[in-house]
Amino acid sequence: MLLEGLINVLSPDNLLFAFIGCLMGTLVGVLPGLGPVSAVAMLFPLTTYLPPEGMIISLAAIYYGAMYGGSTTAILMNIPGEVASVTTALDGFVLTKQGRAGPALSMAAIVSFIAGIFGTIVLCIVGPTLARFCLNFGPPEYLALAIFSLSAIASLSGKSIVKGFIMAVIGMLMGTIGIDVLSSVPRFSYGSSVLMNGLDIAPVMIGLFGIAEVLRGMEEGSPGIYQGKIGSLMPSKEDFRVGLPAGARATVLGTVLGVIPGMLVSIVTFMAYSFEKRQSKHPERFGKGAMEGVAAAEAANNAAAMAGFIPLLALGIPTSGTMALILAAMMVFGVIPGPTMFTEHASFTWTIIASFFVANFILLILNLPLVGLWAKLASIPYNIMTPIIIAVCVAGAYSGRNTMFDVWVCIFFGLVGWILSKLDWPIAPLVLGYILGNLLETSLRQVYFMGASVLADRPIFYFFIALAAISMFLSRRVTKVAGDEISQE
Amino acid sequence: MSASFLNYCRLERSQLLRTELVQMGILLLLAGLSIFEGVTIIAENAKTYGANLAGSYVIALGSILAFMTVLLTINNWEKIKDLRLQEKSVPDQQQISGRRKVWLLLLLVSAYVLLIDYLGYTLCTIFFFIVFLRFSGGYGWRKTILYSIIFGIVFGFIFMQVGMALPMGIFG
Repeated sequence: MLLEGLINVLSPDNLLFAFIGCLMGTLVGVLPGLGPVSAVAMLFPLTTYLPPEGMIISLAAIYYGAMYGGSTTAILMNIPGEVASVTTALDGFVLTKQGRAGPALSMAAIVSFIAGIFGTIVLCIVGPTLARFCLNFGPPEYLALAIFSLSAIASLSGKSIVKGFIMAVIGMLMGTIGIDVLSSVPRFSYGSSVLMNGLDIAPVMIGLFGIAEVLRGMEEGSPGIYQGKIGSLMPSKEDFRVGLPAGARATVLGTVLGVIPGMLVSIVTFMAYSFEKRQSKHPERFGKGAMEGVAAAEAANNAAAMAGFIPLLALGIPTSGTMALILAAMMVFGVIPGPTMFTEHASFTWTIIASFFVANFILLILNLPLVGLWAKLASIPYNIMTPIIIAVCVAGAYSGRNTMFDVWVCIFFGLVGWILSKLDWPIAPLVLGYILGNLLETSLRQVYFMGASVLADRPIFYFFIALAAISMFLSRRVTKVAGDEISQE
Repeated sequence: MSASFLNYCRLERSQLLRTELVQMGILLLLAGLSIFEGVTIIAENAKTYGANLAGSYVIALGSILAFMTVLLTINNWEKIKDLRLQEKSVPDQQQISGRRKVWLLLLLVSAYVLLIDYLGYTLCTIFFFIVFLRFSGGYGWRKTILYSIIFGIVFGFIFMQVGMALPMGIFG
């Protein structure tokens, strides 16, 4: 099946989509302040005009490209594109100041490539097995899975579990706007025909992750401009000696942790960096230009991102805000991720998985020679980027349903996203609550109709409920450990 | 403890209290709206199959939201009482200026979106760029008009090629 997928993805059309996705993703990711989530949110309306395979291929390529672009600005300018790139900047920027930006960028690209390939191989092995297992799931299991996913992400998203849950509930309430599918009763429509169609996910995402970022950038002012030279790209033998093993360890850690719903990529990256520092014979090097610090952070980042596709494709459960966005994009095109992806839509799914291999190669080939160009792009003044981003966001928000209401929704959620970030409220649970709320409600109603006795012999149901409880208990510990490590750095 | 520090603590505490009360108010309002909506759905659609479940779900979410809000407020109240644990600082001039820029940008974007229906996407985008680059970016008129026309036309062209249908306004 993988071979068939590779043959499909090597068609000129799909190769072009992967290439353009990598290019656009890197282009947006390189811009200071914009990370993978913003890149996917802003660019996904453009992909809806492609065929389904092309859309998913280009979305995934945009995601990796943006991750690579985000680490470029983290290393060159100490401006991470997202929270997960903060750890890359800790040593990456120091290496830049030491005149070793080229080797740092190359090491980041090489370990990202290795981690991406490893993650894809794990997806090939684990994905179909997990999907086959989940074919036995019924409404009780899906109910428990939705509860586990929401509680995990609500618990791990920020410092306050209660805030996470509040955002998840608000997301679920947002998902109820419109006509109830089962009873045809309108909810929260107040007689408005526009509201009866519900809120489209695209404008909400573009607002929360695109417009909100612009507002934040406007408030915080222009970031610094990189004025140095990249120099030689080749890492030294010593760089490879310390960087590759660190990258390998972080790849495994990132893959294992990245599968867990709610385990944000940023937390995985910090944990991998801390682990590498703790087990190093020279921990004092970290934070002072340790190549293994860059390697560990980047490998964990990419491995966790790749691992997030396992529950997304096999179960239809997103593990983070970005995965939720990719899920939403797939649903817009009528592709419902879940166990049937590997059975009824096997050819389509294996083409997508094969495209992950191809995109990783494209990124490695594309980005290293063009690193000078990306550095120049990162220097574009914010005063030029702001109106460009807003114009793209407005077009993207409008294009879904061709209504100005969606543009206003986008701007409203941009304001909401900005305020939430200022008041330290997590956004990921809001997004996941919106996406998973329907699954949870439908499953809950089905269980209600089946009767409570159906839960008597459903061990998987109790397993996921127990996992939900454990995730809430452990989340305090995990976020405290990650927080302590961050504050120490 | 000096009088000025105590005064500072009082000011900080009142600002935090205000923020907490506003947040709690908004969340309780949302919760109340949800519960009211759920009750209305059940009351007005008593004979519709499934309506009671549709309404009950919304009531349940509203109730959970209300409970969580009260829990959060109780948690935060303890922290507010002991102000020494707070890290929030009084906003400085740069922060105030930054927020002002945000509100101005939102006003500009709102005007941009309002006019799109009348003037169309491309023309509105050009005007938006002109106003932003000139007054916020501080560019001279020549560069402003040049960049604005280039970006407006390029975006309109790219989106058209991709297949996006954008508002044409009175020119459509």
